[in-house]
Amino acid sequence: MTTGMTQLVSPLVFKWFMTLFTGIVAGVWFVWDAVKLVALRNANGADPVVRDKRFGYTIGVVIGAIGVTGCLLFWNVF
Amino acid sequence: MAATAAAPARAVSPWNPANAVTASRFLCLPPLYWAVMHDQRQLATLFILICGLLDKLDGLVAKLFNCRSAFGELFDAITDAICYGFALILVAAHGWAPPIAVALVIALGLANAGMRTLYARRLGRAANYKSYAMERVVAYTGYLIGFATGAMEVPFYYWLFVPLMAVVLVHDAKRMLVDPVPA
Repeated sequence: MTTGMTQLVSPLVFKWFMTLFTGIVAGVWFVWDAVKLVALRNANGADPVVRDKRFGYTIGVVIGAIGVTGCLLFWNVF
Repeated sequence: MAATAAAPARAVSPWNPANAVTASRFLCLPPLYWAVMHDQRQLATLFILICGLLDKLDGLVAKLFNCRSAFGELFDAITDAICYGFALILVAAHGWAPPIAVALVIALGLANAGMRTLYARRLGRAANYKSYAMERVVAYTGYLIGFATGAMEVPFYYWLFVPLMAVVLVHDAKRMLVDPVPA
């Protein structure tokens, strides 16, 4: 970070804020859409709205997984 | 078809609290610009966070004051496009995000807007196609700006977003332009 810039918090706290904010949102997003996807398992697949929901929730699960993976990469976990 | 949001029958003035909250999001853009231009990453993150929170708040205010309207939905979508589009271009121009990925994201966003216009023409009336997948992708767009201001795994998040949005766009293109429209 550039010297002299306004620091609301220390760089480490900011890194933790970014990690926790992203991780919690992405994690909740992942679980929430996974639960909704499972709830639709017995729904009529011929209904286009049901198919749209399944696709949308699958995308939500993927986005949640991307978010959590990014948090782990941020801390060089792998 | 339930996937198409019907316009509420009750007449609602465009001068309502929910639209005021939506409009207030534009106030985040000048300080965001200043923060990015002065390399103030934390402040830039704060302003984009406020912009995102106001986006969530306007929906709650609309429910609370019972002032949901077709205009409000359209105004919200336009505000999303302007605020996120401006912020994406800003972080890319400042070197905080990959310009090619940002250009692709904006191009895909424009394609999405164009398809929605064609869908409304096919329907013969103003209507918003409800895409569960695109709702999630648009929410992800807001976070992309935060990842750029916070310098958080920027290439990873940006380059994964592009194919994801392309897949959703192809799916929605079939639904909006090929599949039969509801009566």
